[in-house]
Amino acid sequence: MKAADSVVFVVDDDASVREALASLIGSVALRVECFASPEGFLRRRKTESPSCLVLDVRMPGLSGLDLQRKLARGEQQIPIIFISAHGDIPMAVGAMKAGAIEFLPKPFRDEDLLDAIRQALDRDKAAKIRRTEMLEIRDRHTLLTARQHQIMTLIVEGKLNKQIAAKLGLSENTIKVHRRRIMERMGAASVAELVHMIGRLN
Amino acid sequence: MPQETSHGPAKSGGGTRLRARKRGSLDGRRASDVDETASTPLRSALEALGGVHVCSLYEARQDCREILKAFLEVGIARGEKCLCLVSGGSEKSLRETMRAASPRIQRAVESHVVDLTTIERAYFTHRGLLTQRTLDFWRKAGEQAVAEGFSGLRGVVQADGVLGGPAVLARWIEYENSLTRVLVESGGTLLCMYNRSALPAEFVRDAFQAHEIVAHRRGIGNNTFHVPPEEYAAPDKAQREVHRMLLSLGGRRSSEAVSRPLAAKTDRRLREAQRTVKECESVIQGLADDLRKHERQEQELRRNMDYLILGQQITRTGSWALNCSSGELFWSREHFRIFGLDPIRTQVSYQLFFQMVHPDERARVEREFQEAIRAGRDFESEFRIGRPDGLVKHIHSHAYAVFGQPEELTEYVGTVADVTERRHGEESLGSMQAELARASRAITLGQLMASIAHEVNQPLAALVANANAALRWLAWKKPRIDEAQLALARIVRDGNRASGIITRIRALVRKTRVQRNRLSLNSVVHEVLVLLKTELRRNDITVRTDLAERLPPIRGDRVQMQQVLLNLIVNAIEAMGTVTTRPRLLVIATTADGAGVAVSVEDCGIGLAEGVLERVFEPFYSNKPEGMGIGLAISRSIIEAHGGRLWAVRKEPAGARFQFSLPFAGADAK
Ligand SMILES: Nc1ncnc2c1ncn2[C@@H]1O[C@H](COP(=O)(O)OP(=O)(O)OP(=O)(O)O)[C@@H](O)[C@H]1O
Ligand SMILES: [Mg+2]
Repeated sequence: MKAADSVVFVVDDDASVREALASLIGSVALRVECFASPEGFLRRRKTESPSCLVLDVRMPGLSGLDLQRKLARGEQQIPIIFISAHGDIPMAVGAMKAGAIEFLPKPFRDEDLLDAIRQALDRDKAAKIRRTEMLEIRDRHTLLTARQHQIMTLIVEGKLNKQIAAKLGLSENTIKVHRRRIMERMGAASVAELVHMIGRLN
Repeated sequence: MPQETSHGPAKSGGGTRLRARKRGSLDGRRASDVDETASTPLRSALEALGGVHVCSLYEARQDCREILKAFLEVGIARGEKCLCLVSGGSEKSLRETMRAASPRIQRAVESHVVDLTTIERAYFTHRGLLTQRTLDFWRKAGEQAVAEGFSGLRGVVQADGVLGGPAVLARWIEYENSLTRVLVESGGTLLCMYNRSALPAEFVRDAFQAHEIVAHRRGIGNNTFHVPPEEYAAPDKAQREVHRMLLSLGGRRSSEAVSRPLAAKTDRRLREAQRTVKECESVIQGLADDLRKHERQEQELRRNMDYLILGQQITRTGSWALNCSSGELFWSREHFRIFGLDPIRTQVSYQLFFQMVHPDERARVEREFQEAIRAGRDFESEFRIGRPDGLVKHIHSHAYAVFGQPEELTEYVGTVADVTERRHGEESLGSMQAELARASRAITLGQLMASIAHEVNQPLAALVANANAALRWLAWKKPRIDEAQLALARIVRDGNRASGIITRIRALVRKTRVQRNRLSLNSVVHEVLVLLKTELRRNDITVRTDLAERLPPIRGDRVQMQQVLLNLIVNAIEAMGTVTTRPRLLVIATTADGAGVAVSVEDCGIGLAEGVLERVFEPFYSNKPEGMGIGLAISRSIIEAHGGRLWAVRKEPAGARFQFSLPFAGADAK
């Protein structure tokens, strides 16, 4: 849980809880930023580092669940850990269904919170990596010519060079050359990898 | 040790053992083999420590060598028998560790001053529970060591795997504490070594908290995180924990690694901080006292009005209060409305009231009321009134006798309900009453409690998080005293906030003084059943009452007793909601025995699992989508406030029985 560049955001309208969480999270050497309202959080400087959100459910104005919905609609994917001072089961179920990492009733055990944060940060980190990879694949994909694209689709479908050649009315050698080019452009080491990449694109 | 001098140096077998013991006690640290007996800081720390039960956490095997060496050498020097237990399979490596530690220890191993065996072998030769086995083992071993002529027993336990012993911290602490007691009694000392990398973190943490002395790396000291058993089980645990943590900050002294970062300067700062915290505490305490006093006065003032306000706002029934000595009469707005009178222009009086009562019934009602006053009993009556606008209304009036300090009747507080409608539609009125009962219950308990829970959990969450943060800051390699101090100051603040809230709730829930009238639980049962008549009918529930004849009265608050029964019966109704294969039967019984009166509410509903018989009484325990989980918690607190008990039993083949008992009125009268 070192990752010095990870950030944990805390949104809670209760100052005591905010201070306590800042200290607790700080004590395991994580960076933490606190906000007294969802609005404040939405105005924050955006960051690229792995982050997660510890969010109180009941707040005046925008509630935690409102914020969750808002973030989901705005395509701001950030793992959320809900904390709540009154154990409201239907609410917890709703929050979890909407993708929350954890729903902790206050008061909670520190390990429970820290474990959830750890998990959330891991998940966010993985998601961020996946997103960058994805963008890269997409970039490369757009570099392919129309023909290469056509051939690639057939490769991915598992067709042999011979079959592709016959289908497109080209020589098998041409297909071979194209195939090499495609693999290079896409940065794939094997057909399996290529299939995997394309699978992710769709 | 009277035998000490009679043993001369010997060369083999048991003799060597004794030689070791003798040299230890005579030569102390200045023995001939200088390097071996030279006092290391660790050793002197060990020797200086008062406690007998040390815990050591290690990660790599060589980590534990220093402490093992120091520990064994102190024992050898004191002429103690040393017994090392190790997880099966690790004997060889422990033997090697000991051999590598010092030649002196190696010699002691050869001469059986230091013995080594596996945990399994040691504990499993004894019968019974693991805890009992270990305690027996160490007691016996201590006795045997003394019988063999040693000055005492020194034990080492090195656990590589979970022992399958007590898993819960409370049990751990209890167990380790018993072990400490055994050690003190048998003059033993024990070093428990836990492999941090091989054991689950929770296990290690609990073990850590269960020992009074802790050794880590090259340091040893009093374990500031040790939780003494009497503190662990205490109800005001959090408060004590804070206290202990504050204390332990000051008490963090003794030896090496632990104490070094807390040198003079920090120590002074720490003391200053503690002083400040103390001062803050006393100021806050003073404020809290003031607040409490103020609240009490306010409550006192409000007390007489309680029922009136309740009556008006919730049940929309008129309320009245009559001061028996001054004759002063109070009517609520609703009362005026029901009687068709103008609240501003009418001067109410006892006489006016009886003038309005129907002439046919005036004498009877007045007689009933006078009788009630004479006997100091509650008053209940039904009569007609003639209103100025010509309408005739059926009125049901019910009043409680309120007693002052020396059991003297001071006033009547009562309600008047317009029951004219009842003549036309029993049904609709009944359901309205049930509705009202539910509403008043929801307002007084449900909503109130939801907001209270929220209020209290907020500072509580902060408090717990701060305490954990403080512990974690202190666990840094260079303990962050500054951060820990801040966290502790916040704990004090939040703790006071929480206790303030609780004080307010307590004042609210327990009113200042509940009514304590003699009342028959049979009549309370009837009242509640009337209230729930429609509800019961709607749910197709048959009620059987099995009420003891001539049930002796108890002393209590009628409304609260109704509340308890209402909670139990509503729960029973809800529990039978899904029952379709058998008749839905509700049995309410009252009995009397030598000590008091018992009431039971029995249903044939979904019943209770063995494990939740007690849990259902916990506040906020509920498995109903709409339930707050406070009905039973409140009920129990009411019954206990009346000196009684409330508990649940499973019923065969289906259902549950909730039962409470209360002492006779005579028992606590006076
Ligand atoms: N007669 C019963 N049979 C079976 N389970 C019961 C019975 N009475 C209580 N329980 C269990 O105990 C729990 C706690 O009861 P309690 O009255 O304290 O709260 P609740 O009924 O859930 O909510 P409320 O605060 O509205 O009363 C219930 O949710 C239910 O699971
Ligand atoms: Mg209930």
